[in-house]
Amino acid sequence: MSEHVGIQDKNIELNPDGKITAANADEFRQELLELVESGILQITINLNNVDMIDSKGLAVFIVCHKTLAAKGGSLTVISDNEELCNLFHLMRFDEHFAVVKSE
Amino acid sequence: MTKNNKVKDNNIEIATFYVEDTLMGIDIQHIQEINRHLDTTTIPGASEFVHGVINLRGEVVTVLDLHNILGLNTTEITKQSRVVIVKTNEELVGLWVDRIADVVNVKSEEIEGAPANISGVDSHFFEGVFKMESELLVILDIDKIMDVNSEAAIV
Amino acid sequence: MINKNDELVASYIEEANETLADFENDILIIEEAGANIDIELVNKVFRGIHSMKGSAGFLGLVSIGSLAHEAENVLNLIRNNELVPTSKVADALLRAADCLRGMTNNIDTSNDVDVTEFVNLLQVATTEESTPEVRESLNRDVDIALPTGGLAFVMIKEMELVMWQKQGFDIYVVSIDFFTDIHDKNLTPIDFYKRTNQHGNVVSSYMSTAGIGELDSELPDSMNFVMLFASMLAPADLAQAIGVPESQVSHIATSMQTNWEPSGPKEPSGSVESETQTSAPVEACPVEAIIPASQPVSPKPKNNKPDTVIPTSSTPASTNLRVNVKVLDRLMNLAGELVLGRNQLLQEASDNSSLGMESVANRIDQVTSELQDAIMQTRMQAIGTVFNKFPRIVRDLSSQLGKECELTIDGKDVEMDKTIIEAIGDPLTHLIRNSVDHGIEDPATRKQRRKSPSGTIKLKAYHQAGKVNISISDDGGGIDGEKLKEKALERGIITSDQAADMTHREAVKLIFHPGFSMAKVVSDVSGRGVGMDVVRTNIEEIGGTVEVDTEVGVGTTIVVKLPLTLAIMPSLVLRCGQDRFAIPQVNISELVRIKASNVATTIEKIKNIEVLRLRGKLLPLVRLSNALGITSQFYDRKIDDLEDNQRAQIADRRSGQEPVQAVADLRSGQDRRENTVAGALNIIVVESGHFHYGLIVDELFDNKEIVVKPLGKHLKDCVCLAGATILGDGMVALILDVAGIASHLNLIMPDTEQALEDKARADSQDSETQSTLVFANDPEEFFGVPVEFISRIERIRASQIDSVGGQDVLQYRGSSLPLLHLADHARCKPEPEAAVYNVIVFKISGKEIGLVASNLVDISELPVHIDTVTFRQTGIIGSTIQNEKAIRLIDVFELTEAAHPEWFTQRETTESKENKSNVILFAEDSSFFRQQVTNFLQSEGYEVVACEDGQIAWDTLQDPEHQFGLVVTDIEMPNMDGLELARNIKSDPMFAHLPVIAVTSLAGQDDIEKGMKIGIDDYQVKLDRDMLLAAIAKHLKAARLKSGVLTNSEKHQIRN
Repeated sequence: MSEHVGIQDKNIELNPDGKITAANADEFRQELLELVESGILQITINLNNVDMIDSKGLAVFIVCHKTLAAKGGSLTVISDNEELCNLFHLMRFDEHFAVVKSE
Repeated sequence: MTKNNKVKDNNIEIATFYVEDTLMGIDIQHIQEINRHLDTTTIPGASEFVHGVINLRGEVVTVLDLHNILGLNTTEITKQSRVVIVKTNEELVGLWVDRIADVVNVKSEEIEGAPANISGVDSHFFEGVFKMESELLVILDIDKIMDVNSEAAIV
Repeated sequence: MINKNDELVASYIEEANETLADFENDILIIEEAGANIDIELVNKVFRGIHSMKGSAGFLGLVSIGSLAHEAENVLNLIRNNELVPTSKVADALLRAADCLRGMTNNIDTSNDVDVTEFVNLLQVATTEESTPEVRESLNRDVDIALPTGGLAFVMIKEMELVMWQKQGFDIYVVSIDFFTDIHDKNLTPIDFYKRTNQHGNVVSSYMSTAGIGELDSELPDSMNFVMLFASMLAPADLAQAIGVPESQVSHIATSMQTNWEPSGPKEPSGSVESETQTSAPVEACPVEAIIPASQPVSPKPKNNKPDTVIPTSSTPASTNLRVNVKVLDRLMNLAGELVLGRNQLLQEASDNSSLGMESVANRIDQVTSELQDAIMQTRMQAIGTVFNKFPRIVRDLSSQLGKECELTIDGKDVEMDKTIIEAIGDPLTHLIRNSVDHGIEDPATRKQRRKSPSGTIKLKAYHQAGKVNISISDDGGGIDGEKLKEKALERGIITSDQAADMTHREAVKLIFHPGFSMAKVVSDVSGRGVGMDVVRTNIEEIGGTVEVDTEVGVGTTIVVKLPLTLAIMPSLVLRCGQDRFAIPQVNISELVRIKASNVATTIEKIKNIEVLRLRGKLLPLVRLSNALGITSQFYDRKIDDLEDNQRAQIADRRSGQEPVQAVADLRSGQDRRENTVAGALNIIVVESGHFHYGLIVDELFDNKEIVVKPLGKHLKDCVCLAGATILGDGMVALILDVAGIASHLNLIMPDTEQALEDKARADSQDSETQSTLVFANDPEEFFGVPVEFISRIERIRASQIDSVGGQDVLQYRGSSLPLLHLADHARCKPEPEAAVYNVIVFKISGKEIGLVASNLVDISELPVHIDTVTFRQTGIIGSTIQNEKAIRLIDVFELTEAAHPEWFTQRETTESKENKSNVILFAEDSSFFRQQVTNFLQSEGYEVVACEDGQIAWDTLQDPEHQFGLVVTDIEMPNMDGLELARNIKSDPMFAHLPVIAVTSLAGQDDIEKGMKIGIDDYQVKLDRDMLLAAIAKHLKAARLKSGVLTNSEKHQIRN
């Protein structure tokens, strides 16, 4: 479901589009799992083409962060959506992984 | 989110028009609209390059006389006369031209530097020229034209 | 690197600047109040800085965030009465605010700014002023436990909780399950965020990760999120607002609340339980804060004010909305367009006169007007936004200058157009600075002057007569007019003659002279060369005026008068050439129309300037067509079209006797022809600052409310124009700048202006001067003629002069005008040969006579103290000195008599000295007039007793040696004025029968009425000899008729 923007060393930037909801969250989780298992520890998810995230979708970020953090890697989320950024801040997600704006 | 995202390639759209008999153009991004020649109120005491002011939907817009700025002969206002409304940082400014021509797609690398003098006009106000099949398109430097006030002061 | 979107940053900047603008002022008030804090105010400031900190944090503005945070801490201490806002604390806050402002306005580099210095300042100020306990409590952490066991939150700064409570928020622990509370209700986390954000603030939060696995396990079906939430809502409302069962909302009844004052709402303890019992099974009990064992003694509140209980059941509805000015401007433009459309519609409707159409049109008409008004309202702003920065300026400046100043501000709520508010800031700042810098004395001087050491500056805005007045008064040293004069002399701004003539008021006005700085010592603050003239220019540019009232040693008051709005101005629309123009009504003092037949008699030319004699004053005239360089056109009734008006020089068109006529109303269509026919002149008398002149235009239209639009940058050089507007037909009309036109024609204005000022001065100082036409036939010889004697001035070619029997005459409109040459009768040089001469025309004994003059020099106010010895000879009364030139005053009667004695012998016979009681008592303080009038009365055969004032006249009247037949008196006189003299005479039975004729240099209607009430029988203009003589004859005759004593000729007349 996501377009791999590029893989450099152990970094990857994902550029999913559409929705991350109960319908596809598990698929997304599997995708991320494969990446981690292939040794990638720095994952950047660009959410600028995503127009909806539901609770299930949100869970993906939590588990992804947990997984990466446990392996010494890190998750970065890119979003220019103010409300989404505010939500991440409200939930203090931003204290655990980086939530940044696109350049 | 960055501005350049939208630019797919380096094509520039140039709106072209005639001033006297010279084909000139302005990057279409600078142009808000093109109007028929509206009733113009002349401004006593204004510089010669000011043609007058018009009412553009409630805004008073200065119309500059391109003929005068470029040192060409001022012509009569005809049915084909148009006012090109140009957006600048501060305000809208109209340019009085004699006739509107097509919008031309130009690749930026195809624009050449302007020779010092085209059809007897000083190249100071030109950004460059583009060779079309049958004639030469002079691309105007809109900033310099808008600055004609201070230009005049310097010269 | 700031990478949030621009709009957000822009709105942050706007908001931060607003916060900071109020901040200064508020801090100063807080400082002033000292320990006696105004909790509302401190809360307000606190909230401002707090939200600034929040936004900064969100936008990644680290430096701003950390400094704001520190400022917030300090404010919190103040709020809790733990820190007295001493001036040191206030200083630190103000400096922090400055730094914050600097960073806000250079947002891109703000993160590079090192704020350590300011942070330290704040910390130092805090620690120095606060107690150790307080310091400790600041950093105390508390844990918040769930009653079910386990800590909900740990290490929460106690201060932060208190802070929210102080603001009237309640603290809740809210737990939300992202699946049952959000997902299952078809909501998204974003929806949750929006709801939460609307109803309070998240103090802390966490997602319980228990039960959530990693990527390799299934995604969870439950995600419990817990937040420590500050909200003003009651628990039930909050639960509903966020969308969770009330059971998941727990109110924290901290024990801290009982210790700090004042507090937010005091939930009765147990209220949560009772509520939850009714609505849901008790799953979670109220949590309570666990206070560390080492609980310090909380400081007692330092003030004994009753607690302010802030109602918290609902957030107050916000009645204001932030709108971009550009949107408002656009709305304005659109409303303007709508007005145009409306006008066309109304026109159509009245033309077609369908009833339905008409009512629709009327409705749209009404709505449009109201809409326009409402939009206009949106542009109004309270002047407080400008005033708010002054307390800081006064405070800083006075401490810098070692002075003590108190600033009181009144009328912050007065609203004006945004444009004016923006434009008035700088001039007002300058005036306020001046008050501190030059007005208020240092404390030592003030003590010497027995004033309180601290000076007071009062700043006040108020409405008056449709305008907003802003007055700035100080109780400082005042402005010393004499010193200003000295300085102006030094700098060559005025001559010593001018200085000597200047009144105190006039001298004070010198401060507005360009380049005139009042500072005795060039201080850091002012004296930078720009001064009051710039202030005045700026104020005048926005249609305002500025006046100064000052008294040395007592203080100075400056009043700035401003229009309410610039956007809409009542203006007069006029035509000049083919174009229409508008002049703001504020600049217009009156409209004058001169019929073609009167042009010659009312318009004169002095040194190429046309002047209008209007109620005795000279008004320079400007032809708008000349000023603008366009061709004037008049309305030709024959061809019903505009024609170029070739006759530019009215001075060439002469005839007729009718007086100047004021144009009251030019609305009706038929007036159009009347007031635009060739030759008639429409004069708009305009006023702007010190300019006062008549503008000659081609045609006057209606008064209209016009919407002012700015002109583009290419037209900035057009000094004659103030802007543009769009008329009902959609065409653009230019708005004239009357001051700009005057200065544009600079070359010719000053002379006449001087003449006008001279005249004005003469009027204000009574009749000690006489307005006199000065001419010269030779560069060394100057002659003067009182203007009252002159009926007009002709410019003739030498070839028009014929000589008939040794008498020069001017062939003129079918008759001939006898000419006089001064040199024929007086000892002076003859006028040199020339192609063109001026002829000054007088009317003597019903006949006209012309005096030939080479050069007309000026019309000026000459002193009437004349030297009657040096140049006294036939036709010359004497001389007076002006600008080191001797000016010989011509006695036109004597001169005429010398040339045409036959004109006078006739009168001699009719007015014979038949009656010995023809003795006239004449009171006049000016020796010039006394002599002139006495001379011609005596030459008419009357006996005259002249007195220098009313008192002497009264005494003389009672002297039984004299028997008078009539009294002629001046009005303005020392000791006893003419009115009093007349009153005395009329109320004394001995003299009540005496006719009293008052003479003035100007007969104003007011004076006449006043005089008539007292019983003055007649009014005459002093130097109108013929009229005065006729009046004297008439009243003497009437008096004699009454007493039955008639002269022979009178008896004869009656018999016939």
